[in-house]
Amino acid sequence: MSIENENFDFFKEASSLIYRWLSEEERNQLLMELYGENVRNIAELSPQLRFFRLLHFIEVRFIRVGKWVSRIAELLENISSENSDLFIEDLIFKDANDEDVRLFELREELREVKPQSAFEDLLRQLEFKEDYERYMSSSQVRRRE
Amino acid sequence: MIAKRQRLQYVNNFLKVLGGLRPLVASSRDELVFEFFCYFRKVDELIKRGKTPLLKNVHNRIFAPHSKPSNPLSASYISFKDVRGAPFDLFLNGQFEGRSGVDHSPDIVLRETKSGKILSIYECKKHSGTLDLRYYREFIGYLQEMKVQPWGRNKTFRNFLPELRPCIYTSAKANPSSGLMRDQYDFYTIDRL
Repeated sequence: MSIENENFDFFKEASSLIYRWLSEEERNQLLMELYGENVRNIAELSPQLRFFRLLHFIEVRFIRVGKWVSRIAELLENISSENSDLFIEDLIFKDANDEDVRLFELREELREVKPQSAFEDLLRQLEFKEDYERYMSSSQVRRRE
Repeated sequence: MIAKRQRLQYVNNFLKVLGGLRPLVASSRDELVFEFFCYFRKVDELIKRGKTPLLKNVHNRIFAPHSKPSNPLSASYISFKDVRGAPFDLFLNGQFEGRSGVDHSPDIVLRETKSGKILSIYECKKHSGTLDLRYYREFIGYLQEMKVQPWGRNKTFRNFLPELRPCIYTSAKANPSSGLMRDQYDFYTIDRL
């Protein structure tokens, strides 16, 4: 099998694996985002674009939250130096089910899972780090080529 | 080149790790964290502009802003003191009456303490891909309803405090077609957050 065919098959099967793994709610969210890019269905994209679009969706849904929580902690340090005395341990919000979420605890739980490392490891293992970066810096609305 | 089967195994292993993350981002937690992040970015910008923050409605050291649209004064928020001007408050998920009489809830609102006039609004859009134009249209609707159009008093304010310019914060890529709307209504987009 040629490298192109092997890659083509991989993108197709990996995309299918990821898409099937997404919850119903996540698929709907993805579909809504694709509509905004004039794509009616993920299958309209070429297997390679489909794979990178799904990776990007996962990155925003699951990976970046760790970065946002860390940035909040950093921003609070600046705020605390202005005599407001506010730390990440003091922050609470209610989620959509009205359950209290302490941002500090969420940060600890995220640190255990290490989402950013898992994502970077995957790109490295697949040898797609540069391809993904290229995808991210290019227009993300291209259809099947 | 790594064999396809091996690569699919890597993807499978990654999805198993993600499975552990799902409860942590469920029930809109990821969106609320994103809103917090944008809120404190704005707080940081105002502090860097020389404004002094003052925490409001903090009980037993707990700072808990609204997660759903509600009376802005009934949860934690940050007020800013400035001897050179009027004090103002920064709310997260507050509900405000628009020009038409309908209630609206832009994610983040900056409001003058004394007059209650809304000075600016900031929306947080946690999306992947390219941000749909409909969110820009919705934002312009908010600007009209909350009377934060770029003229008169608002224009003067924005000249000496650029942080008052309305903004869309998003994890997505800004829509390339949004430039003209942005210029016309004087707002900006901070994308790929």
